[in-house]
Amino acid sequence: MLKYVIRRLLQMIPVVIGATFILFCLVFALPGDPTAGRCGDRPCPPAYVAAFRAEYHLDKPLLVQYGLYLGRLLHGDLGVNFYGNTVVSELAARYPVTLRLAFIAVLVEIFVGIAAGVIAGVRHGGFLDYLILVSSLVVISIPIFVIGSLAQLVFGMKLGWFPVTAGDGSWSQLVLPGFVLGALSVAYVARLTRANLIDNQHADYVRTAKAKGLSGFRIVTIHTLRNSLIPVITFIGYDFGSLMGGAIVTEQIFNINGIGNFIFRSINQRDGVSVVGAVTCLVLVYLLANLLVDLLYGVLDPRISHD
Amino acid sequence: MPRKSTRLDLAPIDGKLLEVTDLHVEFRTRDGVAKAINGVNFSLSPSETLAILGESGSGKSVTAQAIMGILDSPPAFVTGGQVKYCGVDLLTMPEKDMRRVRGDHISMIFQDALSSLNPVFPVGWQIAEMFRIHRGMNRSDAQEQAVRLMERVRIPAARERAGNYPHQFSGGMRQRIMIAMAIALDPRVLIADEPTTALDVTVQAQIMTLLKELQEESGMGLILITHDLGVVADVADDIAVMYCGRFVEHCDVHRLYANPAHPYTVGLIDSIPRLDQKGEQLFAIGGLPPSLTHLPTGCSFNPRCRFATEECRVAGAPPFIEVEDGRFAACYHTEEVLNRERV
Repeated sequence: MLKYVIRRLLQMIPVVIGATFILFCLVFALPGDPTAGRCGDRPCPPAYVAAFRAEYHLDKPLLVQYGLYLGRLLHGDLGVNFYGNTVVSELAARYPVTLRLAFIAVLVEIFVGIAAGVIAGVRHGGFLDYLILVSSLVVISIPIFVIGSLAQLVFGMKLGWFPVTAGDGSWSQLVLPGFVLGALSVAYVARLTRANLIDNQHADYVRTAKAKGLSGFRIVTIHTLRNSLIPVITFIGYDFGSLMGGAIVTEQIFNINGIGNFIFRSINQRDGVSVVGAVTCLVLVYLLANLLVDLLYGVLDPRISHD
Repeated sequence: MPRKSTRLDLAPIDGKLLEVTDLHVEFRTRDGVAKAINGVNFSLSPSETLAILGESGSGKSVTAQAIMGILDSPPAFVTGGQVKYCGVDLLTMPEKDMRRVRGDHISMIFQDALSSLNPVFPVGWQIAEMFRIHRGMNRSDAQEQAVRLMERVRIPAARERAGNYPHQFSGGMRQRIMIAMAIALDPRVLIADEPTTALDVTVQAQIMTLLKELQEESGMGLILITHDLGVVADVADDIAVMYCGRFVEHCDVHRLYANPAHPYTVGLIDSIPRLDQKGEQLFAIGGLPPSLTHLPTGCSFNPRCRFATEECRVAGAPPFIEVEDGRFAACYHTEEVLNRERV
């Protein structure tokens, strides 16, 4: 088990290096001038441009730039962006917000999604089943910016239950955005849980559980659900990994100062140092989340061994 | 969840544990109604072993599951008959009482122990669940009982292995775990649905011996469902042969093997490979069993029967009657079959 974790961690090194290189190339290839608009309405004086390019090594060839960057990365230094702030401090200011948002979204997925899936699965073919199937289809079909705007209008403006935008990104302000962000995955989780539960209801071990004289409630909640949740939890785990990469659309709608918004702005402003730093960080987070899911898989299903 | 710590109070009446009368089960599917069980009658006494023999689809397992009340409904519906256990009809019993009969009074083991055990719980936990649900025992006491049961079915190093998962055991050991779970609460009736079909021959013998020993210790009635004539010969007292959802012959093992009274039984016994006929072509019953949605008129076996006459096709299904003392058969030509020319 420990060996497996170490092996997986070592495998991350080439992935991270490869990812940073591809990112670096992509940012290098971006058209546009990072100095544009830095000097008000006038174009910047050539001396300023030259100084700026020298300071950020933009005058050097791609590979040299990349080498310098990797060297700093080894010391945990993600560099200083074009606004003079360290990328580490920019991320540190925003990551807690993104984490809180992802956390709320995943909680919604777990509680609402699994509960809906179980109800639909147990009432297979009944009214509640169709209701959940149809409503999840509706949620999947509507783009998230529509859901977000609707939620703002209904729960923020008309009912006034939640703040319309999230100013400082505290827990209470992130509840509504969290529900919106989780909505799509809730629909998938509900459908996945339902399908797996129905499949498992005819499994041989369920027949055994009936023959043991267990109640229907115990069979579903203890025996069937535990088996049905293995793929569902895998899905939620991967989803958590990608949610921690920020949610550009949701963050824009609710004006949340998170990672997604930060990357979006940095790309717009050709702030290459910020983009590469932030995305490298996301790659790492995603890899770690994947590792966690794989370990969790082994805990849920004893047939899977990591030795 | 309410925990009932006592056994439902039921005692055998007139020495009979189980009496199945005129049981009918049908499956209502999109392709029509499949009549899986069409009037099954038998009874079981303590310490008796009844083997129900038949090919796939003959209704053996459906009979067992109907007795247990664990048929998936829909599509399966019990459309008639009675299943009396200690004088009480299980088919009309309230579900909450029926749950206390299952596992406690009547237990069942299944063919494929790997898929029949829950893959995500340790085997000790699965056995202990019986004591926790039916006897209201706490976790550690129930676990202790589970270990004792694993020792009783002769699983080596039971205490250490109780924490293992089903996939970590061999096929024979897994079936022993199924058996341990089924006999946990000393049931009066044990239904074994093809308990050895998925096992190799030496392990088959071990499992059958184990079942026999457990029966001698506890005096439970045993219903052994199988399609393998060889498995039942040594352990069964009576054999019932099933075809298309009906018992076609029912008598003690010796007479059934010596001289069958139904043409289908004749075919089954003739198709056993024999050492003295080595090298000759094996006998097989011609044709295939009919579809349960379109049973032939008259006797269901008539299209494949060499004794069949016009009567078998036109008259209703032959009645299941006593043709000799303690021997039942459903055939219009029993005399002819019993006195047939022998190979």
